[in-house]
Amino acid sequence: MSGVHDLGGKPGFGSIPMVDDDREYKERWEFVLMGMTRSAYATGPYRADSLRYVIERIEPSYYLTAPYYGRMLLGAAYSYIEAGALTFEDLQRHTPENVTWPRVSPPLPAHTGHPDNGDPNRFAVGDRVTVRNDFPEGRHVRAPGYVRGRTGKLIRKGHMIPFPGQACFRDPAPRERTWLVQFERADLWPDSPERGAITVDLWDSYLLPAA
Amino acid sequence: MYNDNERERTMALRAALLEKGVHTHEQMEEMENSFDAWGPHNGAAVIAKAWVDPEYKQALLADAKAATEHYSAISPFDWDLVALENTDTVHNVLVCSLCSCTYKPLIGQPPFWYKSLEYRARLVRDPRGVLAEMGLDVPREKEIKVWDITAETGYLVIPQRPAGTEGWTETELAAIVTKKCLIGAAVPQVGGAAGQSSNNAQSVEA
Repeated sequence: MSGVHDLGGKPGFGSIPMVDDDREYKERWEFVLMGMTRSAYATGPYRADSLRYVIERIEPSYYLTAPYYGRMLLGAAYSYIEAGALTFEDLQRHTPENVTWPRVSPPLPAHTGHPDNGDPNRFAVGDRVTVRNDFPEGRHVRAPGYVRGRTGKLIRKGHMIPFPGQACFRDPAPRERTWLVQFERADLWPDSPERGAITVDLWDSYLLPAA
Repeated sequence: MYNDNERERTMALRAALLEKGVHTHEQMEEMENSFDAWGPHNGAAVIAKAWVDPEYKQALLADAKAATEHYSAISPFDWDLVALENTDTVHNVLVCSLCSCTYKPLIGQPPFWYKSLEYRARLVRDPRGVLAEMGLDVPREKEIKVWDITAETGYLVIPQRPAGTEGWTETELAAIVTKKCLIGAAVPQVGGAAGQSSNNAQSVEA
């Protein structure tokens, strides 16, 4: 099981909103906020994984109703706090009295990958792999639920980047190989009338050789 | 209860960061002012060049990051990039089902529909239905390939150059490549309502 943010393939969602509007911001505070997060990425208090992991810990009732930049705002605010750059009291002191900050659930221990990137030669393009389905709950795992336990094919060797389950804690996280893994829709949703490929990029530790 | 005070809370966070010296005014303003440098006009220029210059197109397909380095040098992100070519048999479309990732130096901050819960939930399972709803009917004979961005490898869709653009300059060609085209949610239209929506950071309500 993964969190409320893991939306791929979930049933029940309606029409795509705001289809004719490609704007990125509607109000100035939205890009003031993004200016902060980009300053953080550039100067190092936290990485995008911290912000993503905070957002994954927003309570579902708020996650599902908040505007996009409302979720980003919590991601940024608690990333600074969890990085030790601010305290919640600092934030409260500048917040008007009648305004309340939604809380997020506390982080769980890191999810670790291979201690040393495993065997760098264990996979090659063309190999069939199965995505693990035994991830610990509530950690920062970037494998969508709809591919967990499913088998696909490696189509491209991706870059080596910090392992998300550790990078979300700001400590220097070990880099690990990513792979572009291509799945067939028929293998993910056998009842779907639509065929075609879906490609997801996944860290080496998330993968097992296909049986 | 929280949905109408994001502005106040954003300003509170900004004030707290300044007080603690986490960021300076100058840093944050520089980042805000750099936003208009990131956007779909960059991606559109890359596509137009690829349409008129076969060698550049091959370079883009072989190593998109190197071929577009000029545009991504301004970014604080260290993403990889892969170019995806639409053909007579394949249409490519992008999504980030887990959050809202896109390759911002070339595409910009993603639009609201891309970040919506509905698009994130539905595209992977029913891309043809979602695209039709958005006004793009992909012929049945074309496979729709969906690319879900999860590990900081971004994608740039290379649309097919439409008929009726023979002899156009790169500037004219770039003008018909919209943000939706770069994501794969539309294809370039000749004679349609062109016009590039960009970051519009400087033109929104205060």
